[in-house]
Amino acid sequence: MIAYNPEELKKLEIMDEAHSWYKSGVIDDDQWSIVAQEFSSNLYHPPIWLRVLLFIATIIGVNAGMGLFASTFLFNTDSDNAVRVLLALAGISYLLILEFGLIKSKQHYKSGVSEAFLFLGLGQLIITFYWDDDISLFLVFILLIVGVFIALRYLNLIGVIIAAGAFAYLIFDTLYSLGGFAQAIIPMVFVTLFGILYMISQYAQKSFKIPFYYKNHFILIDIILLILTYLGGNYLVVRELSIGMMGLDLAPGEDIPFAFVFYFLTSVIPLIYLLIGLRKKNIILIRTGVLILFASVITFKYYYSSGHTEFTLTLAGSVVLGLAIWALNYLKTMKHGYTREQLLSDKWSNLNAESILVSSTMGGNASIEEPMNDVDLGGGEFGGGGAGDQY
Amino acid sequence: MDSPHKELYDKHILSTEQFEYLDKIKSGKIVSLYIELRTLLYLGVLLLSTGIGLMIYIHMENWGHLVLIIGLLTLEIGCVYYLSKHIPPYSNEAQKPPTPYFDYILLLAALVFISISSYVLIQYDLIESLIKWSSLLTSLLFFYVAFRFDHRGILSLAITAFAAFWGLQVSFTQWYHSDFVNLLSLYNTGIWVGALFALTGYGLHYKNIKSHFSFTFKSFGLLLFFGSIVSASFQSDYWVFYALVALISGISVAVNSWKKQEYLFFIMGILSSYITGTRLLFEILEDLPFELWLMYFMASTGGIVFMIERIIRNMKKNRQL
Repeated sequence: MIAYNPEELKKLEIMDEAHSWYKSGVIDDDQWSIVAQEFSSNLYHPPIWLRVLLFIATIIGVNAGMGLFASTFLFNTDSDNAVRVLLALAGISYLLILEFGLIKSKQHYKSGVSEAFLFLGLGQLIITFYWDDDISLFLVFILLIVGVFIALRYLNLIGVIIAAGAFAYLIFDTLYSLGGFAQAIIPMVFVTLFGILYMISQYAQKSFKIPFYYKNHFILIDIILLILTYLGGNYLVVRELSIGMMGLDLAPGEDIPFAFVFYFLTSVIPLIYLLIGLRKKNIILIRTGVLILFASVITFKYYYSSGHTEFTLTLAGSVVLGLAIWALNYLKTMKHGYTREQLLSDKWSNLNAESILVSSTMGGNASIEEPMNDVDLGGGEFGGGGAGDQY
Repeated sequence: MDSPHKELYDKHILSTEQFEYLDKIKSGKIVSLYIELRTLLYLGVLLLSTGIGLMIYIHMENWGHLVLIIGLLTLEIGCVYYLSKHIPPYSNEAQKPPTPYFDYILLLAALVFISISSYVLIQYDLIESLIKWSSLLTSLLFFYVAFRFDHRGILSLAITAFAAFWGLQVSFTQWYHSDFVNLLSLYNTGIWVGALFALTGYGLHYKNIKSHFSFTFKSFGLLLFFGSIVSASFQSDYWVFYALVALISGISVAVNSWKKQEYLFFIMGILSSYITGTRLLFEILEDLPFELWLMYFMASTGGIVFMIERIIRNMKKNRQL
């Protein structure tokens, strides 16, 4: 199924891991150079920013070539079918180039160039077959299969997201078009179905030997399943979808049916994630739990706002800060296998992201200039008053 | 297949000690909450300072100024006291913060300082006359604090405040709605200020003073510089001059960044030289038929793709990558 040579992928993985050990000082220079020599893979896998550049350049170049081809052969054609045939042929040839020209003979592995050919090829094929059709369920089904296919064969993680989105949409749409009772139980179906799927995924990861190159796929699948489970029971999502899509009319003071169930789920699911995550030392559960805990707080704030954002923010800030300081103090020495120290990572480099975030909270001079305009107006009035005095 | 640390241990590349340490981490026996706790600290500081800022804005009239200013000053003095108690000696190198909270209390102190100074400006009706100078002073103070306490967050605050003094807005995360038209009229300032930041970045690296600050300086500086000069090469009456400068500086930045493996700056250099170079070509070869332009785009992007692949393969062969 997989397009790449697993042994070369293994080398790449070892290099990656060893590089992070080297950066965090676990292994020394000599060990790193031995690893770098022995596990140098023949895959062409440039650094991330270069991949971005290569992706953009390939898209521009291939489309220019396509335009050139079309303008020579189809210059005077009005026929849709001719364009469709050309698109399909181009799409197929892009996929063939990807498969044989790039991966088989040149060992491209997620090089940016290969992604460009993959998405251009698949995109053109899909456009060919859906030339003037509306988005139908069948297209969503095709997307599901294509997503799974590129995730398995090309290890493309975007494929996982496409497939999961298509799957969730299919379930939602099926129940929605059945109407009546089926519509009413959509939230419950989402919570139970995706919850069970998460457990199945956990079980599968424990009991079957999953190839190492699908490790990241399962991390992503776990996160998506956890979030979908939560969204199925989230009060805000259920309420707004009920009103928007199912024509529920709420008089003021009225609440959605079984509202208490959704209040309960909205507040309990994050806590369940956090508790189980902390007990089982599952960092994905912990992180998702913290994330959706904030989503729950925002949900409740949205409907039961005190109207005093400033107090809420100050209070929330103090609580979060207090919690973080307490946890940092508590973990001064390792407790239950948790530590506050950084174990493996590039020592300082991840601070870059943070410093950029800090500056964006200030938003340049925009936030400073706004009050200036207000005062400008005030100043004008004041000046007018002065003139009145003189007369 | 085994996990990497097991495989390397079996091949006698890792010592038993190293293997056991890594195994504890990989099997999940020890879990680090480093990133999680730091994110919480950061979030807390952000929420708190935003809340305080809003509180001043809304309740300035009702609460009496004395209460507010005393509250703010108490918080600020508390932060400064904590910082002065734990202050590390100055060093040109990157330093580990003396306590895990140190960096975040410093950030809180800086944000509260901004609240206090804008409060004073609004209160005494000085905003109109002093806002520019206050952002210059703030930026100078923050530059000093950033270098003294070794804090890249404060450094980027200082950089944005300094750019604001010149009327420029630099933002990485808000580029999608940043007002580029606004930038157009200011392209000359943008070019100078951007070049100043970028050169500071290169200088720090060269002189080995806080060389880990170099990335922050260069990313703001080069973004500002290339953004301004590319828009100048479309807007200005002397666009040929700007386009030539952009072309040359873009190529030299690209070459330099490639050597240092700083591929973000490589992209910036390549993109701006490609855009301005194409613009120049358009002007020279105005009458060229459409098909030849398509060929140009095909050949040029293809050239970039093949060149990069060739160089990377060569580097790999010589074990430079």
